Amino acid sequence: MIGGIDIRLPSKAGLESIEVATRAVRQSWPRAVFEHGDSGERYAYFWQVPFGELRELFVYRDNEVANVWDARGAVPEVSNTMIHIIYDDDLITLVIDQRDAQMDTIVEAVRSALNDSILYICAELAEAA
Amino acid sequence: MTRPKTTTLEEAIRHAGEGWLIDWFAPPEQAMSNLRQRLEDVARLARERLGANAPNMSEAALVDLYNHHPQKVKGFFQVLGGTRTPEILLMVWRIIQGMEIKNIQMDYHRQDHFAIRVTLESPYGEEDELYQSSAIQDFTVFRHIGTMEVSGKPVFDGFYPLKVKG
Repeated sequence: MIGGIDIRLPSKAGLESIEVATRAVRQSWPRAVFEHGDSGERYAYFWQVPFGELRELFVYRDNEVANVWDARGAVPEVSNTMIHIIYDDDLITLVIDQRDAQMDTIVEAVRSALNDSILYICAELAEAA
Repeated sequence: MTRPKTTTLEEAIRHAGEGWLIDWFAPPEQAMSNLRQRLEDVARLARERLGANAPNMSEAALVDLYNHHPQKVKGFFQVLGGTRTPEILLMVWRIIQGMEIKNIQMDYHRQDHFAIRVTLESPYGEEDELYQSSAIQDFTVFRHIGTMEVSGKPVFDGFYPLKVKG
């Protein structure tokens, strides 16, 4: 995705940010498949993704476009069918090909999900009796 | 990131920082047997309801999963002690696995009744799954459910551990 657009969103959810962002992407791409950002391992199912240890994840719209990306790279036919999600220092970066209506929906969904207070409000245990 | 190398359920719970589940149980020496019984109840229900698709909820499988995906299991540990029904614990596990929350119906009247029905749907075309409870204690699991908006429409998705200090 040379020449893609980086969209940076603040996140206080640590490495969990990638799962949160991926769940939001999945709302628009229910058949998404996933690829480990370091190892390149492909995951057909959401539950297989090792969230919590990832710093980068590729999310493809579906298996068919993932195969095209693998075989031919960033060709025009698969423009905007993959999102590269990167977590680094309280920041989630979404790398996309270009802004369009669907990408804007996805980006806003990710932003909304990352704002959920469950992700950053810390509770404290009461003193043991 | 270094993966945990726990070998027992108690080790995994303590490694996750959720040792209070054990230490604050009354009496503490019965905590693990109580938690194991709850796990067995969930595993049996999973087999009954989901058959071949049932997740492996054995103690060994949970510990192994914790060692590979600690964040996914930490939230489950947090509700394992306080949730009343195996049905709602199984629902939690299915959300962690990626089932999506399609519908929630709650009916409550003070000092009279509480009822909740949750329908989960699979992004992979499996049948919807219905989970229900009338135990008010089960409401606590909803503290862990993630929220977002998609095109201004509400979505519940994800099950996250509470960040607990102490």
